[in-house]
Amino acid sequence: MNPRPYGLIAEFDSPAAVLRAAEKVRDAGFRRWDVFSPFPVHGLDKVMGLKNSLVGWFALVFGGGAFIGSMLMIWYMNDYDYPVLVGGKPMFSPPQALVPSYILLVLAAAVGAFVGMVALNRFPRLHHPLFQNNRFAMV
Amino acid sequence: MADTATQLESLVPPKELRRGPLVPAHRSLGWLTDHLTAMPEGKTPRWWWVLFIPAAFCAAVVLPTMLIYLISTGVGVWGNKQPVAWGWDIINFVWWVGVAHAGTLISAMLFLTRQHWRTAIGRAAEAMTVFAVMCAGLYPAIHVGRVWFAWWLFPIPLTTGMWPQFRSPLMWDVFAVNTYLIVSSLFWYMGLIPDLALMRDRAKTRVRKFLYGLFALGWTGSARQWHNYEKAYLVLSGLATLLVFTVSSIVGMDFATSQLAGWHETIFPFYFVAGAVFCGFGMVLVLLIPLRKWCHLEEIITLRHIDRICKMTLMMSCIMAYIYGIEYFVAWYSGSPYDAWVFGHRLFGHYYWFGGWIMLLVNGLLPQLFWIKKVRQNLVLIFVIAVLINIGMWFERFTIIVGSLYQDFLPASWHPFYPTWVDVGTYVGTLGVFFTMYLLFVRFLPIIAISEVKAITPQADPHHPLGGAKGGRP
Repeated sequence: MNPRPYGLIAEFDSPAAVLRAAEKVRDAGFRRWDVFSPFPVHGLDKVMGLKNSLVGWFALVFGGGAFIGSMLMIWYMNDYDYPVLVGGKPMFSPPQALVPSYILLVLAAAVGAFVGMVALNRFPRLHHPLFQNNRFAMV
Repeated sequence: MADTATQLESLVPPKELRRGPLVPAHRSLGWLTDHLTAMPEGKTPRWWWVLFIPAAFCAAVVLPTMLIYLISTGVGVWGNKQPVAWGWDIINFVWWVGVAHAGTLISAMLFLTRQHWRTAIGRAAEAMTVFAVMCAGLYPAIHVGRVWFAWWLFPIPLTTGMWPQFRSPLMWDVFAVNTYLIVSSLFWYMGLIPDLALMRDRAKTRVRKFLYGLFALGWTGSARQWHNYEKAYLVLSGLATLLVFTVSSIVGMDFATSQLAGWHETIFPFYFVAGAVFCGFGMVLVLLIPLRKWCHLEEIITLRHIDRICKMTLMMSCIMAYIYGIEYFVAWYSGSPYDAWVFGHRLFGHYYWFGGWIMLLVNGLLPQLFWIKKVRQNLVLIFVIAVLINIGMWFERFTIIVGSLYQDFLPASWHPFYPTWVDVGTYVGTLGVFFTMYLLFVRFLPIIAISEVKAITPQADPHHPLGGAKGGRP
């Protein structure tokens, strides 16, 4: 018994040809389709009708959460739980807590962007039915 | 037909505005793939072993010996003592962080400003960043004295009930350097994913198939993946750009918040960022000039790329010269006798006056040679200047740190600083770690971002005749 085919695949030899083909596939009303290329083809996301990627939101939520969280953490550690007076400075002051919080914002937002990319692309997926096609190695 | 021809001609920009293609000779995409994967897929060349064996010796023998001796005996094995409590450990820390910065600047900032020429050198520069930050991060960890308590730097609940003190810039440094390491590694790794998938698909042996496949995460190059990937890359490069300005600023604040003449300056955060980027460009040139020859990448990393890095170096050198000028001006203009003393002694002091001169002449004056086009095309001369820039920037840190410390406010405690063999050995060891990792990177991973270079060729542009478009802009 033959396994059910995963899909149909066609090969094009120039980015412009792929772009034109993608327009036709989209207009024909297909929904579960994709274009494979060894480099990002300019304008393809518009032709395929892809909405703005959600990766930015991942970064915003991770980064914003980390910023608020670390401001609270510094307040808790240096003002509430274990206050130590240093040079008569206030126990907690936002400008001073801003620097480490900002650094943690950058860290968490970067991790968020990466996690977002991995999650939205359904990685890691070490085996894909397309890899069985020998000519697929071209992309 | 004649109509289209005239239309095409009118679209061509005037000659002086026209730019040559970044990959000359219109190489095909297949040629690019074969050529750029040749090094990781081919046989190990002899030059690689010649460089790798001494580097690996320094990394695997010299550095562990020094660290074991240091940790088992104490920081007294270094030249640090009162009043010079910060010696080679902090000099080398600042130097390594500085080396890292140009990589992020090239890969992230030039990406945001859409400088397409960065595609050829971005990957190699990012790798430099990652490995240099690793070497930098080692120093703060081992100079705390009791290394086994280094984890107290992190906000971890302890039975003692103590927490880190977040008012100190030294504490900010812990976060800044670790963040820099993680973000630049992520950025570098993410850039590698499409190329790892390419290596996986070309791999012949099972081990290679497995390892490249594992780290490629299952990349297929689908438009939906590229869509998310490009967004994530954009976000990451924005964040990495922020780090270019933050990490060295915080290192600068470690100094500027102290009350010491020669350190207590508002210009320090910017000063350290500029110096870091300048030093990093020097290191990029030191790495790329031999690599492009040995890996036969002359057509990818062209003389135009080298020319542009030289111009960036020249710009940074001018900024450095300006900052040096401001420093000396403020030392005089502030009327502070301590400042005037320290800066006078940088050039005409009892010890270390050579450091001040090296810093001014090598960092401020020597790169001015890059104004001359002949110099920017002479690879040997560029290489020599780049090596000197790295040395000059090392002496800058030496002058700032030791030069300001060895004569403190109490003349009775003045004492010069001499490095010990452990200082030298540790530095040589970190150089070994850096070059070992860099050589492994050159051997096993594509040092040019293949998918990015392909994306800037005219064949990859769907609106270009070579990309299959009818008519369109030439």
